[in-house]
Amino acid sequence: MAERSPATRRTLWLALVLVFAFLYIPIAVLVALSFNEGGLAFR
Amino acid sequence: MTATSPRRRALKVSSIALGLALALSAPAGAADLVISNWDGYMAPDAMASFKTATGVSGEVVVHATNEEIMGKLIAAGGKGYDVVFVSSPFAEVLNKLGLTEPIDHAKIPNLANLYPEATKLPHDVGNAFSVPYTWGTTGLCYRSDLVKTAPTSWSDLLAPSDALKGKTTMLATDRWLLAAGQLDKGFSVNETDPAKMAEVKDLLISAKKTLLAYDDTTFYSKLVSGEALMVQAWDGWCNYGIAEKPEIKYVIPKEGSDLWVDTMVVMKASEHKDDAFKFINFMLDAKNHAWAAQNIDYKVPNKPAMESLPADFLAKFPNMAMPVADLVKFEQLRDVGEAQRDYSKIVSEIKAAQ
Amino acid sequence: MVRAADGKPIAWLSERRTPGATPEGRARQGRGGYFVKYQPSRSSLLMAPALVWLTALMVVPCALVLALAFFRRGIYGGIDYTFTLENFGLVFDPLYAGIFLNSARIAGTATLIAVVIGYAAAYAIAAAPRRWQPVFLFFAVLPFWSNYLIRTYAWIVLLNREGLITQLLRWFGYTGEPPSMLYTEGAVIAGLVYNYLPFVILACYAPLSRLNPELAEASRDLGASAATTLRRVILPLTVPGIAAGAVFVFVLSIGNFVTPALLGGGRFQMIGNLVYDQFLTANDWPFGAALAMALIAIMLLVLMAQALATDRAAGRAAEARGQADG
Repeated sequence: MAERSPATRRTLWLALVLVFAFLYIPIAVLVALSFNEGGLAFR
Repeated sequence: MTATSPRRRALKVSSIALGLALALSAPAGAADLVISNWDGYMAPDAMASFKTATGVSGEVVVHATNEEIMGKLIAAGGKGYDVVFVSSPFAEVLNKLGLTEPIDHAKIPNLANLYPEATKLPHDVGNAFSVPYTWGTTGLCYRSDLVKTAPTSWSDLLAPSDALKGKTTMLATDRWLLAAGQLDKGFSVNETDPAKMAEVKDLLISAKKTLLAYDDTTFYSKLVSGEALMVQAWDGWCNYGIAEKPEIKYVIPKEGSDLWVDTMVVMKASEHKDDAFKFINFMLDAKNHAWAAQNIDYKVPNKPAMESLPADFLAKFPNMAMPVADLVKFEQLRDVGEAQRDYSKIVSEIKAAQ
Repeated sequence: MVRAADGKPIAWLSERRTPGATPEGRARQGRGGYFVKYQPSRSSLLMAPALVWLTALMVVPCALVLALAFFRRGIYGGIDYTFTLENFGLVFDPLYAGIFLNSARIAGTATLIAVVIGYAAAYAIAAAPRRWQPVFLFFAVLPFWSNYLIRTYAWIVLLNREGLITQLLRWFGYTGEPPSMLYTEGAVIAGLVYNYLPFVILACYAPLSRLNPELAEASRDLGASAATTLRRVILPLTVPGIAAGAVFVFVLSIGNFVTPALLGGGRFQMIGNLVYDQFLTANDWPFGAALAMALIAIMLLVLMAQALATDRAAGRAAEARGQADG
């Protein structure tokens, strides 16, 4: 695509990071919980 | 106590996606005895020991809710099943539809184990078409360490103190949801008068505003985690919470409870009726029935079975020791016929209310 | 030359003419017709398995459900085979019509949020270096490979009063009453957005990645701001992707019954829950069928709106091409 200013590029990367955080935090939490014996709460 | 397998009276959670698919499918295999029961509501090795004892083999299919198995039985005229576990109002309906086989008392000698009260239940006096398997009450289950004053009334749930707002749950299954309002108003749990039911509806809509959620399946774990502090619960399910956290207590509100009875019925369309009666006889055996009481934490209407329960078990779960005479004072949920449709609509109105 | 059983040459295997080489080919090119001769018998043969499948597993069951809606519920559930229209009348009862509207509102909100987030993500992916794009796309779709229920449960773990967010707040020194996040309308919407976001990203990425960058450049050269370029050039040309993504989210959300049950705690009745209850709790299959048919009608309307939006966007795109050529 066209040349972009550094500010625009930073914004685009930030958008990507945020979306992937939204998509993966819940899954990461479940994976972390699967190592946990005590049910839902981290103890 | 060994690990409990929670009973799934209305397992909306994991069965929700499968529900519709299952509702239309028939049980596999037709050769042997087919039993339909809630998941985890009898010993996992029950069929194996039944075969050792009688030489009859059988398979267990599970239903998540009364309504689910009713849909299948009505659609297929009861074909494909021999013994079905359903709550008493549904047993009544099956009988009214002519789908049940009269119970042959001569073939079930263990009926003698039943408490005399259990043979005179209003929904089926004399056990003509159903045999009670478990029975109990619906009341309030709460965290005694976090609730300042112990609840004594349904109003403590329906109009909770500020500290409890947003920390209570009610059952989602229509009859029990309505029963909380009916009992609080002093009505029968089978009340169908439109004016009175309108009052119940208004009460339950105002109660909804203070509710964390409607929950049939995980309310006791919400108590354990502290997410909820007081919930409407079946006594046996409250016991699952007590097993994990002794601070959890069960109380029957002063306005009373319903008396719920889960029963075994034999289908008229069954081709193995003698074996079906043998199976019921096997389940009523004091030892087998005591297994149910001790592992699914529900009261069973079997005198020698209840008398065989160890003292420490009864001390841990006080509601298991409730005298039968007190239990049968409560009114049973009965089939209300056409009024069921009004009940469904009222429940929809409550759940849709903002 | 490849010949079919009847001895005739199979045109599309033997004559791989370059489209556009002849005037008729040029005419066909615009409509995507690459196969030279359309042979109805053969193509219907290839369609047959799909048609049989669709008829047996879609049309017939839907027709059965539709038929069900014209009967009465038996006193004890089951079906009383007397013809009636009252089930359809009941759909318009204020109670049930209200549930329809409420579901549409929740699904609409989820759609709006999913499209905004998804479009931004798709734009960012399309703007990333070429070789990274497939990787980003892959990771955008990956969560989708886990079970819907499990993905929904993750939100229960995060949002419940004793859940991770509360514990995190406490860890940072917050001591007040934990916020109530689970069993709210916001939780239901979050769950819907989360579950259907990958659809939007995929749908929006396709037109964005095909977009000719010169169009945006020309717009900027002619003095349009970035915002105007987005609004006047990029957005109109990617409407088909947005419409496809939006329809996906809306249609899947409005009929959803798992998310409102799990994240709404049963306090929010959506139309999917109502249909579920009619079939599995109230045992009123005829009314459930009428509700399901009303839901299908709404979905068809939404799909028609999507087709219209896509058509108009295709017209605009052709116009843009024509002007670029001229």
